[in-house]
Amino acid sequence: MIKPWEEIINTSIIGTDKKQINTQVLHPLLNSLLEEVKKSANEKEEQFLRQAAIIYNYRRGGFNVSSATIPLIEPCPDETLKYCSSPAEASLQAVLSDENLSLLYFWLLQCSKNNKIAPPHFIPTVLEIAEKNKDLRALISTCLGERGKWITSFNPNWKFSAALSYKEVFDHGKSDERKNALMLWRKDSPSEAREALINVWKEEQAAAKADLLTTLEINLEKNDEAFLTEALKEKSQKVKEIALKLLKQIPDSFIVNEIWEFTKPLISIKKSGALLGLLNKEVLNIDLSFEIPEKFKSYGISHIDASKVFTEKEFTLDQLIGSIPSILWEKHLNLNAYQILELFNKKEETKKFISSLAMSANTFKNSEWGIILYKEYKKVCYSVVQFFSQELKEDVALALLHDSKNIYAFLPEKEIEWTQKFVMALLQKTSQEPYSFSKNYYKNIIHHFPITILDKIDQIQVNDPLKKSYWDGILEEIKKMLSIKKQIIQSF
Amino acid sequence: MNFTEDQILALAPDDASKKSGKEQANPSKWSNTGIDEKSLWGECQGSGKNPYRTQVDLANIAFKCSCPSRKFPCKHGLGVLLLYCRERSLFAAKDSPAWVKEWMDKREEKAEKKQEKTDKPVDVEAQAKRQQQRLKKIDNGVEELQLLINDIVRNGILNMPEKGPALFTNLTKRMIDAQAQGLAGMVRELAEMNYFKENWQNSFMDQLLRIYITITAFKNKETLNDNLSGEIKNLIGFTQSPEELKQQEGLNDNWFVLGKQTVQQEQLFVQRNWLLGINSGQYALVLQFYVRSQLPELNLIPGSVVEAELSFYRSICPYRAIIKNTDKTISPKQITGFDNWNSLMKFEKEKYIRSPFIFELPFFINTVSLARLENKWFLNDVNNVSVPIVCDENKLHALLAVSGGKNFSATLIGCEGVYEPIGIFINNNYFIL
Repeated sequence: MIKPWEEIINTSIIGTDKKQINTQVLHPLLNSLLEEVKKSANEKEEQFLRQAAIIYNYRRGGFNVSSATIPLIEPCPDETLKYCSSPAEASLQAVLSDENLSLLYFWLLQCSKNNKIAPPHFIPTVLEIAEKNKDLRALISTCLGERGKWITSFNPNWKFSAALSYKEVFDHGKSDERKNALMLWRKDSPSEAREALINVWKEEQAAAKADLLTTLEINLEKNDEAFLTEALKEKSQKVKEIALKLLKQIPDSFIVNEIWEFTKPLISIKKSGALLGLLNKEVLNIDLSFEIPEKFKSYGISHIDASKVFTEKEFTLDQLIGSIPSILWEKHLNLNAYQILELFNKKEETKKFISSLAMSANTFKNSEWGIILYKEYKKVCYSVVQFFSQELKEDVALALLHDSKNIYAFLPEKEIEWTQKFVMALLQKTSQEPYSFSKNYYKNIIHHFPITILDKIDQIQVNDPLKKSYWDGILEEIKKMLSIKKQIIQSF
Repeated sequence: MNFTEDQILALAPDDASKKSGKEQANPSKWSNTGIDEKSLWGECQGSGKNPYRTQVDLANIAFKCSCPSRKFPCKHGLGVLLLYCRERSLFAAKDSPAWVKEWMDKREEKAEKKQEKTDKPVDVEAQAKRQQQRLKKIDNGVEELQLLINDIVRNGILNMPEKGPALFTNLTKRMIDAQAQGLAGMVRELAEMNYFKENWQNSFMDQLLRIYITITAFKNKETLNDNLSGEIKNLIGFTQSPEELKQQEGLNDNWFVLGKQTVQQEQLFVQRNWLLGINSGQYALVLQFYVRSQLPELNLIPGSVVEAELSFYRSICPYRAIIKNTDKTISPKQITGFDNWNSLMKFEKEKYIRSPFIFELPFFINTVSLARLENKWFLNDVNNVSVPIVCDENKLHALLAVSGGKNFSATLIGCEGVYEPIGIFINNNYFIL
């Protein structure tokens, strides 16, 4: 027996001109009622509409749902940690309303440190943020408790690779996920990560090889040399360039050794008499009468200086010195870093090679040399700033603010609060250029600002009236963000 | 009074106001803040010399601000309420200052004057003449509509996806010309129907038959009882005036605001507020119509409870209502609804049997849990009866997060066994989905 409403739909599709409701196919009780209704009208359309109106009400008045019982979902296990306080909840709401990732990081950090979790109604919003911000994922997962883990089983987009092993992601992930997994793997276990790359090396495309090979820069070690030397035989020019660059960063790789053996005799200490032989003076003697071996060209050593600071020979020597770990000079000249740099600084013709030594300190991440070079000669070796004291890092960040707006290049520790002195100095500088350092600039770093600056921030002077009005808007925003930070601190 | 940020932001006239309101929820911007039993206030330093004075009527959720914004509520109104929600300690309980007191007194005075205005005599003869003229226009409009419905059923509805939108848009305009606003609204739904949706024929025929039943009943209005005749007139477009409704005896109760939905129809915003009388178990729909930059008369906050008297429009199943007067807004404690699907659907079917004009209702059901079969989601009641729910991904995630797969009570909107959850009550908190 056909359902009455289906008959209405079937008839309405075709039209009463061609089809009438077939009451015979319906339940007998309904059939007799519909026949009666039909008789009450003359026109076919009116007959249909009256019958349809009856069936419409019949359907609504007697609808039923399927009697099948659908299995309940497995409920979330009970939480082992307590939810954060109401003020903390309010502060999280303020952070999310402001779409402020820096303060969200700070909130999550406080939540995690205090062994608390976020209330459940925040979970979807926070997981959506995690979807787009990989660096927040680990912290977010600790702050969402059991329910945060449980809910990911209902949305594959929230099953982040953090939960999978490096190997699983590296074997099955997308290209960026694989690279990311290899980078993390490399941080934790350099040899395992290298072996994983070696195992798949032959099957990879040239572009993927180049991309994955760059990850070996993390924790680069002598054991990588054999693999990198093999990679020099690859067809891809890009792969070869990356392998060479990495080999030149291994302090005792065969390339570095060859360069060292060649360069060592070119620099020596010469003792010269002064004041009629009453004083012995030590000076550096640089021999520029060399001819570099042909194969050094394949190591990227060239002789043309675009900046015209050096002569051809000097420029070659500059690159040779930059390719040698500074520690080898200490042994060779039997002097410490201070003394060597002092010697180079004595004469105009050797002074220019201090930048070559800075290049070397940067390549081989020699923090001792890096600190001296910055303190005494204002040369910044970017790769070693991470080893500086907080004060020195802040000093570098401030000095190079205009060269690099990415302050994280010098102050990479995300959880560290910057000193009030530094932040005030930073604001004093950035406030003068409110168009370059807009609200978003502060929005990304605000959690590093100590809330104690709230009492002093109004002292910042911007003299240009046009810039001042723009800065005033930014200042209000900074104050608002700091008041949220204060709220977060007080609520945990 | 416990409002959540979401509840406050739901009062914003648009997304830009939400954003600006959030920006204003900054303690450094506010001074002289305070709160008393009926109102909340603060002074906000804007771009001008003097700070803006912002005040909120907490009983009726109304705003006033001395800023020049034409939006209601303005960003300062939203900001001060958001700030109160975030940092209550900034709002000391004290006597309201003169400028707040003055506004609150004026509001009371205005309400009284409004009452007096309704007491003024009207020119009955002129009114009857106008009604007569209007009735004639509507009769013509109804005839035209009937002819078109006949044409459609004669030729079949197969070509409606191509013809329908233009045909019914045109017809909507003609119903407006015929001063049958209610019919115009019903026809507009056919114009705006999603003809790409699977089984659109069902929704189409449902709506077409609703129109047919309404106009048929209207033609026979002389034979109907008062309530049914009143309901039909309301459906056609002869809405009862709020003044007239306020003369009626209302229903006093603590009304739980189940949910709110605002849709735009051309220049007009239509706000639907669904309420449940905690003591009476009566459901109510409070509609508000307003144009952009105008403040709806009432701001009902989902999840709150208003002590109020409601007057219902004439109907065989009273549902649509107006709020006659409100006393105060309070936080909910315990809400009781249907015990199981069976009792919910019994109630629903009874409504349908009594009135063919009701088609989508709110329901509050106790103790349900989430169930899943492949990608389809259900709510199981205490008897383990499963009923499918309509839920987009965002709502589903919110539902999962807040419930954790455990029991909860829910507000649903829907009909005939298919419902959409719009809010859930769990651990004494109401969450809007």
